Amino acid sequence: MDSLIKDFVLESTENLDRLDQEFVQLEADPRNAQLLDSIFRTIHTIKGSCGFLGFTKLENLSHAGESLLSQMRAGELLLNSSIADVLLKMVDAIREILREIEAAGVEGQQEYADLVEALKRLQVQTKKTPAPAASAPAEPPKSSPSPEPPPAAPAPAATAPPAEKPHAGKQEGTIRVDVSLLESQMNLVSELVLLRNRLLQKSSQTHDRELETAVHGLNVVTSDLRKNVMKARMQPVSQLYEKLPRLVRDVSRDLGKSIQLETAGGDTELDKTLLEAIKDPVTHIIRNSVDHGVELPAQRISSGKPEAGVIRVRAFHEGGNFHLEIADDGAGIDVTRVKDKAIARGMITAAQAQKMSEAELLALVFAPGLSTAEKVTSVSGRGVGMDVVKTNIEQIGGRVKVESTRGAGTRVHLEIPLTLATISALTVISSGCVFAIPQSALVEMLSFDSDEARERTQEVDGVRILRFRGAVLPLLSLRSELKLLSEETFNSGFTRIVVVQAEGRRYAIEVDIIRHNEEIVIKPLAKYFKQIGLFTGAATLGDGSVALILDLASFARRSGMTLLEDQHANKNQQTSARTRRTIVLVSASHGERLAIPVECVERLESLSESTREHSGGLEVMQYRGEILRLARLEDLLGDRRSAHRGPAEPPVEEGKFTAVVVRGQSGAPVIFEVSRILGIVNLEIEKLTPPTRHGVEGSLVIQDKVAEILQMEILIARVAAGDYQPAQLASIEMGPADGR
Amino acid sequence: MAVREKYATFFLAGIYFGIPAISVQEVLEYLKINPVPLAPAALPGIINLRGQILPVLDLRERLQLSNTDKRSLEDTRMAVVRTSEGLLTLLIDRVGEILDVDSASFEPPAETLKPCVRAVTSHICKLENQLLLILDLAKLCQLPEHAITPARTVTPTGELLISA
Repeated sequence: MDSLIKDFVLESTENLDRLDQEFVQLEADPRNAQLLDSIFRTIHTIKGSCGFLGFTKLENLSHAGESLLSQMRAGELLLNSSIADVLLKMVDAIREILREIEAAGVEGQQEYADLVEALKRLQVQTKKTPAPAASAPAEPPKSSPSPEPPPAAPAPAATAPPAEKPHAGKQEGTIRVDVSLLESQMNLVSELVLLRNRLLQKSSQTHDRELETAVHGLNVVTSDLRKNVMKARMQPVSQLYEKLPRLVRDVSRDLGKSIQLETAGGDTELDKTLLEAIKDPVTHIIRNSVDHGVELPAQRISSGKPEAGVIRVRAFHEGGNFHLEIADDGAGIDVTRVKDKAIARGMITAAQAQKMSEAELLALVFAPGLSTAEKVTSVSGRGVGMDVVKTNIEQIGGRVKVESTRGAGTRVHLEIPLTLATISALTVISSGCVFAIPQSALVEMLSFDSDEARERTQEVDGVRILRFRGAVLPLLSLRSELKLLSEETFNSGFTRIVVVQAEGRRYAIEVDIIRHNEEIVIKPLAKYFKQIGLFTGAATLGDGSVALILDLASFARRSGMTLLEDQHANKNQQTSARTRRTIVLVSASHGERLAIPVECVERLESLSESTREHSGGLEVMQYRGEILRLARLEDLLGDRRSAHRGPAEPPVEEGKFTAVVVRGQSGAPVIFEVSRILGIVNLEIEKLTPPTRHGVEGSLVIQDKVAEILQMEILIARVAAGDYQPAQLASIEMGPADGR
Repeated sequence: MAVREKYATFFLAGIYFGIPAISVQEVLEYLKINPVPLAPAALPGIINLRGQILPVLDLRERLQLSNTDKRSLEDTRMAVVRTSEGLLTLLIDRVGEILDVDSASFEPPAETLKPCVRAVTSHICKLENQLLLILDLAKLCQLPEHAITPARTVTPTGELLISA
């Protein structure tokens, strides 16, 4: 494209963003001549430049707008919301045309005659004295010279006084730089850092004083250079703020609400890519605040609040991170309604809900498929949104939190790392391939000798499990999961395991070698590798080799683990869609087979009979410094007949009993006594047979036998509440006659 | 009117190929390829070119050419080309000359070419003593179905993980 046109599009687009904001300000303060002048100048410059470049549609449109604005400047017309509506529509249309021009180099097919007509109508209606520009619409636009002298060349940026561009700093001394140039600079600097590291290492071995001094100098300069290049990528959040007034205005007008937007900390800086990434989430949160945060005016007055609501957006740096808070003074989130909705949608059970704290319930707004909006409006209530916000923020390594006080408002808090450029990661090697595991997901690194490994890990049919500090974790191997070639079987005599956490679940990964922690620069992978879906990117390492950055959540999912986030999503379709789950298969005292989802299993134990104690008519035991309830699964499943179904199996080991320690989403763990642990099974579940008793999700055939999948949350809640009849207790009290 | 254009040429499996010289960034001695697990067979991995991470396309695999005269990796050359999908590294056998070719000598790809090769050949150019196949880079970086699907074994259902 012609560089003249390119500059024109770039500068006009930037100016338009400012226009949105200025129009909204002007609406609040219609007599502000300075604002009006600035708006007029922007439109005028666009008109002038496109006449020069031959964009007729754009010229017609901006001309009509300019004429209207010049009446306002002359004081013949005062901006009101209906005029502002049309003018904002014009801004949108201009933006649209600019986009077409940017893409194709010419104006698009779209006609804007209606809009031009609307602009003219507003003007004609109010015409009192023939202002010089007012007569212009009658003439063909090309021939009409505007009242201002046309600019000699398209240099619109120069017309904006520096004070109006808070982020641009001093106008002189800044230049425009292509983002891709910045990207490649960042790349080169990262490489330079790696080369420097190599030199530093080598030079310290040579004992050449002169070389060492030179390398030291290089070291300092490289670090400074890196800092500077990273700084060049930082942009003030005010860029994001520019879009907000228009958004709040449009949405609140649609809904008949009156809302003031207050922004603070506009000069807080953030990496350009990250700023881009938080744009959509922030827009969504603000829409939410406008739509179901702030109440309708009548409602606000009746609850003793000022008629106009306030949305406050505040940005600041703290703890090396970027923070953004979006707070409204609206009705707050109705936790009861969130709870009811979540139960109705099958996301949680009533029993679970009862145990959840207010904060936990509030966090449900981030779960997929939940919307508390009474009405589905064009703005919100479709049940997509906050979950996407959360996903987007987490993707860039950030966190999102919501706090709400009933009647007083809601506050959403985003915390984002300052820059995406480098992350701290652990590098590991499997079959000669290097992988990087983000430090943020790392829990622990383990190394077992062969005896320990045999004791700690168990394997059947190539699928494995790790007992880690008593917990039972799925154990995946990079080599087998990624089907890595293992020409040279790696054998150091040690089993190296990395325990990671992804989306709230822990699991273990076996690798050949654990290298070390290093700062890595994330680089995107070519699109050819996107469909593998297991790598978030690649990184070049200090020794020049390349590491693939593991996407731990996808890796777990691919291997058939159910992660916390998936459970909600799967609830509704469990009967139809295939889902993969890992379960612990146990047998109860009379041989019935029960399946416990592995997510809630903390430990598998063989416990001494002598540890059983009684308290309040129920069995308890001291377990790792806690007093935990001990119950038998069949006592909870409410089928008395099972007690007569067959002979009880003898214990595996005399004087001991087998137990599964389980933990729900909250509360203390519970110990369930079982007869046998039959194994850990990875299942692809297509369809469950409907349950025949309470506390069972459904049944299915596993290894030719029917097993019931248990709803552990319900069972755990019942044990916690003491809501069961311990049959075993009665027989124990009967004494030796029981035969135990 | 005949237009003359410059083509960078190379040899692979005994065939003489050409690509527009303007789209070639550089030709490299063999650089270590870092394998990407589960990637399509035609994409053996990625290389680190001065800090840039570039995908490698195994042309032999992509065009399903014979493997009989396959060279050792150290003898392989890499051509870094600019495509609409970004930079791409092609594995080739030997670099040829830069030819100034007259578009009048272009002919459509012959029916007799292997379908896999024909699909990505924009023209054939008859030189004095041999044929030059001009490759269409845009088509080359659209991988066909057979090249996309990585070899993957299906996990059987209901496998037993452990037995205690």
